[in-house]
Order: sequence, then structure tokens, then C-alpha cells
Amino acid sequence: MASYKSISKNFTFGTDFAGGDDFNLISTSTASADSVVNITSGIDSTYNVYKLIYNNIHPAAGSTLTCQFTTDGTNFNKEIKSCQCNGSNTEGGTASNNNADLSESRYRHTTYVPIGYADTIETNAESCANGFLWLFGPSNTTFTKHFYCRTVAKDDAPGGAQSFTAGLIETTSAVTGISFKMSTGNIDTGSFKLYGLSK
Amino acid sequence: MANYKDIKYNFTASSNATGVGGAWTLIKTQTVSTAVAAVDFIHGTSSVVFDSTYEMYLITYVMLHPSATNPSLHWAPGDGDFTDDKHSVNYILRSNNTESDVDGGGEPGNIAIVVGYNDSAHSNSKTAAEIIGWRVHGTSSSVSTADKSASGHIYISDVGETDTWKCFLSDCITDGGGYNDEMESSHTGGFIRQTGAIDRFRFEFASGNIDAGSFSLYGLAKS
Repeated sequence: MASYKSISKNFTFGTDFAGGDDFNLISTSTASADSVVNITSGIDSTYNVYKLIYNNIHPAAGSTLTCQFTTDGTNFNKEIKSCQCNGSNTEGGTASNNNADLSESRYRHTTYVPIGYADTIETNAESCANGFLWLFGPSNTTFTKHFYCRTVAKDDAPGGAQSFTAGLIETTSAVTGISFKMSTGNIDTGSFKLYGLSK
Repeated sequence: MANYKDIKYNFTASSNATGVGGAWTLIKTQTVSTAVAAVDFIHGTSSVVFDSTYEMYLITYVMLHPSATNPSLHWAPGDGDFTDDKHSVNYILRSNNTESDVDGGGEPGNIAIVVGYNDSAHSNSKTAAEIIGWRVHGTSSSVSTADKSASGHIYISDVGETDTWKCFLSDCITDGGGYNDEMESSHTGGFIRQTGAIDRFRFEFASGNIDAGSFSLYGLAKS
């Protein structure tokens, strides 16, 4: 039989344990045939820098991954200036380089911003998009807000595509939420994990 | 009301706690509330750890506002000073307003984008500070710049290593509002041509002061 001494430090941290890592997992949102995935809690002045990782985003229809932001928790319609470069390579070995992709970039648009380029993300069972989005200083009420994304996706060429997207959210109000949706159709499956970096 | 049994292991570990399994550790944050010419992180000074303790370091900076008109943002690593030799390649994404309707989205404004290598920002055996952000709009007599700033991050690995040069990756997003209402991001990859350990780094603008902003240094555990 084990002695008390040998097992006294055997325990599992509680679900609200907040130590050990300064990349703090705030929430996980799991899509299940959803038209949008909105994350409207956990983005506040607790952290200066947030990182959102999207895993295995599978669309219902051939489409691209997009996002928008909110300052009131309800309306995802902030003016955004963004720029994207992307490239793809087909399974046949034909590469394309859309260095300056005007169709995926925005100037002060209030619509959802493309962040996951593929001609369209393929709907085959094995196809998906993965990537991350950095959001800087969302609770700041003096400056406009910055974000940066990198995404890789299986497209319908068929092949693979990756994209880099950087942008400004043109508001000095605190940004309190982010929304993801496909350009067409639902997000069938996938997860969105929100992390905050201790400050 | 929760009982003790349910909540006894819910706590926040001290910054000095070890062995609790964390990968990333916040080492130091500096916030600028009064204008300064530069912000330095030096190993052994003001609780800064920047040596072989960690496998990799992450430096974040949030909403840096310059006092000058549109200076570039600079980063200078070093050992003993801030002049280590650097070699890098810089790539930019830029979105701005033009008078020609090339956007066609039915939304306000028009767009012109520029993407490509930024030959003006590459370093080649450069001992002066590295350009990591391009044209941060600080002041202007013609447009409001109070809400313009720069944010981003830098990864740098094995700064305590004494056999190899040190690699870094940088991503910076800037608001260059006076330049045709511009958004620009700079993406830099490079290395510090120094086999000895480096122990410090500095942020500064090409001209003028850093009026506002915050900087944080994180370390990635080796195991």
C-alpha cells in the first residue's frame, strides 16, 4: 500500500488553475454546421496580446475563411484596412504566386475580411484550413487596432495554399469580440482556441 | 457556494514558481507612459532574463506611438552594446487609398496594394539598428495621428548559444495614416552574425521618442 508521503503530492490542478504558462487558454469554440462562430467573451483589458488558433476548419461549401470584429458584442462590422499575399501549389506541381492579391485585400470595408485563401477550400472530407490570428491591444481606447494572420488550406485545385494577411481595425473603441465565417455556407467542423499572453 | 475540496487547487502560480509545466513564461513588461528615446532589455537588469535559461524568446510590442512624423521602428540586439552585425530580408504588405476605383466593393474608399521585398529595409552586415516597422505615423500638420501606432512581435532563438549565429523572425503592423491612409505590415527574417551569446536588445524609432506603448519579453522552456 502506498504511503501518504509517496502520494501526498499527487493531484490534478483545478479547472480554474491559472498558473504555469503565460500563454493562457481562455476559451475553445467548436463549430458544428454553424454559419458563424462568434467569440464575444474573454477579449478585454486582462491581456494586451491575444492569439487565436483555428484548427481543422472544414467548410460545407467551397469557400474561403473570413473574420470580422465587434465593439458592442453584437455587430461585427468594423472598418478594416487589410492586405493579403498568398500562393498555392497544385498536386500536379503548378505553383501560383498571388503576390498582391487585390481580391482578398480591403480598404475600409465593414464586411468580413478574407484571411484564409484558397481558390476555394475544398469540401472533400480530408480538406480543411488551419492557422492563427494575432490581435494587439484590443481594449486600448486611444489607438486603432492591429491584427496579423497566417493560414494554410487545402484548395480545390486540388492543392495547397497559404496566405499572409495583416490589417488595421479602424476604431479607437475597445474591440471585444471576433467572428469567423466562411465566404459561402457553414463551418461544418473545426475549433477556435483563444489565448491571452500575460502582461 | 463552492466548498474547499472543489476549489483548493484553483490558484495562480507565483512568477517564481517552477515545475508547474508551463511552456511560456512572462519575464518582463515595460510600459512607456512618459516619452523615452529607447526601451532596453538587458540581461541581469531590472529582473530581465535573456540568456541560455530559455530555448526561445518572444518579444511583443503593442501600440507604439512615435513623437516624430513617420519614423521607422528599429530593433537593435547585442552583447555589451547594441551594435551586433545583422543580415536580414524584409517583406511588406501595404494597403492604402488611391483615387482610382480599383476596389469596386461598394464600400467607402478605394484600394491599392503593394506586396513585395522592401529593398530599403534589408540589412547586410549592418551594425546599426534593424528596421522592423516601416513609416509609423506619429505627427502631421494635415491629418489626425493621435490614433496611429505600431504593434508586432519578434521570435529569437538560442541567444545564449555560443557556437551559432542567432536567427530572428519579426512581424510588425503599422498605421501610416498620413501616407494615403495606409496600413502596412513588415515581415523580417534574419540572423545576428554573432557566435557568442547576446544579452540585450533595444527598441527605438529612427527619429524622435517613443511616446507610448508596451513591451513584453517571454521565454520558452527548454523542457
